[in-house]
Amino acid sequence: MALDRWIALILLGICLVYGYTAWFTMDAGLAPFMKRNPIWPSTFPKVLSILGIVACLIILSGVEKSEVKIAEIDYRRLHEYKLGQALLLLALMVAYALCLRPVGFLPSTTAFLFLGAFILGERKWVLMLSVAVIATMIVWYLVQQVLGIYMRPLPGFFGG
Amino acid sequence: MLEGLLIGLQTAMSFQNLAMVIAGCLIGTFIGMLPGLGPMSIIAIMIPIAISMGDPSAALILLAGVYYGAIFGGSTSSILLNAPGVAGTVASSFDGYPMAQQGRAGKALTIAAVCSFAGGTIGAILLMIFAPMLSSVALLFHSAEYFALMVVGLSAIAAFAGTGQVAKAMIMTVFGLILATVGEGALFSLPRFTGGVMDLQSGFGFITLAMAMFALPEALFLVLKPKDAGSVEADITDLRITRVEARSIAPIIGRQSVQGFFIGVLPGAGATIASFLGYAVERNLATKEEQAEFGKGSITGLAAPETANNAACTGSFVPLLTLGIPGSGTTALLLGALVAQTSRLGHG
Repeated sequence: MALDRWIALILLGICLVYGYTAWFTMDAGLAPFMKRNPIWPSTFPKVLSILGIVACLIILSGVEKSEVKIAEIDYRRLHEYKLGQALLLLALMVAYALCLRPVGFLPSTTAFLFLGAFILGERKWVLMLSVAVIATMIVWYLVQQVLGIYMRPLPGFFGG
Repeated sequence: MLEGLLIGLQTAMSFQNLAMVIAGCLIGTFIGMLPGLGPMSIIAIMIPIAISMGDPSAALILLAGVYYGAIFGGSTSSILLNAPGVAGTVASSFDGYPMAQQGRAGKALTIAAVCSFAGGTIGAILLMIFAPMLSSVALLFHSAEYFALMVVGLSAIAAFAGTGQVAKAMIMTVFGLILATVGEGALFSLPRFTGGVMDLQSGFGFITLAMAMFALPEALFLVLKPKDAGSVEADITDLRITRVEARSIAPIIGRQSVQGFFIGVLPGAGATIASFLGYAVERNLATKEEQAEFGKGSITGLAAPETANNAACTGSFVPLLTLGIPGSGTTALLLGALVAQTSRLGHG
């Protein structure tokens, strides 16, 4: 099955769950006075779910014929690419986002830059550490001190 | 009217105000290049400086310079990194980034600069001529008219979609709208599809989504399939545009300055819709051969959104200056800064 059909199948699943929520569960907690309105909070989602399901079915049924284009990344040759590095980097991004608040900006950003360089194949430890620390300090100084946007620098138990 | 224009020109040409224009545009351009920091954040940062200046004209000139600079700066990161710094420059990346990949980054930046300047300047002339008339039209727009405008904007997907791609374009539009319904609805203030997660109460941030759609895949592509990193920088020196290219973008500048300006006048519409509509209109007006080039590094495809977004920025000043009604978050901040300077906007 072509990649666009796989994507359409995944989106169909999302649209079905979305549609089920819009049609059957969203209106349960609606206040009685709101039910007198012609437009409910679920009205637009209901329309969207139907539109989404119809569009997915059109792609899945293959009604619309389109020319096959070779994308920049060919999914059939994924094994030839550096997939492990990309997945590790994605995992690191998620971990960084989750750590930013509890661990604080300075340690989490330094660790993110250091580990990111490590995943990408850099092995000059002193250089990696210096770049990570300097870049983090510059960004933190610019954002917090110059722009005045508060970012907790250190973990809470350090008084950050 | 002529007397007023001459007084305005005299004020604008003073040394202090010219310095403010240069400073504002430079600051806006540099900060606008950073993905995630749009004109709103930059103006918010500049407000204390503008207020402390004590001169409303200089403050307005500085903030307007920052506004235009930020929109132009956003296009630089769109073209070079495929990471739009501002929502209004997303459409610029459709053709600007392919141009950079083909080693024509310098040319793309020049076209962006020329079109932004031309769009902003023609917009300023239109502002002088039409501001009083347009302010009354802008007020006639209510929910139904905005809904119609949004339908037109979304139906522009047909212009982006190639042959046999309409269903795919439609499903991605619907998926975008599905994501937009997450969070508190504007009409009822009830949380929708949040799953009880507090962070989702305010929905998905536009910049977050833009970064996830444009910048993240680009970073992952580079990891998956490393390229020669020096290729883009090597060709950035070639900034010239040929006479043929200049001739082909001239009519686009004319059309999109006018269209972008009138879209910008409508409160809430702004640079984003103007740039997407500009791209769609120019794609539809192009010949079959030119249409095939759209999305692959067409200079027409870059010139249209770049002109339209800057003209729309000027258009957004119409309701602000004539009625004292801000049409967007950015102009609301400008209004705040000007009110703090005790400027009298609108009819007083």
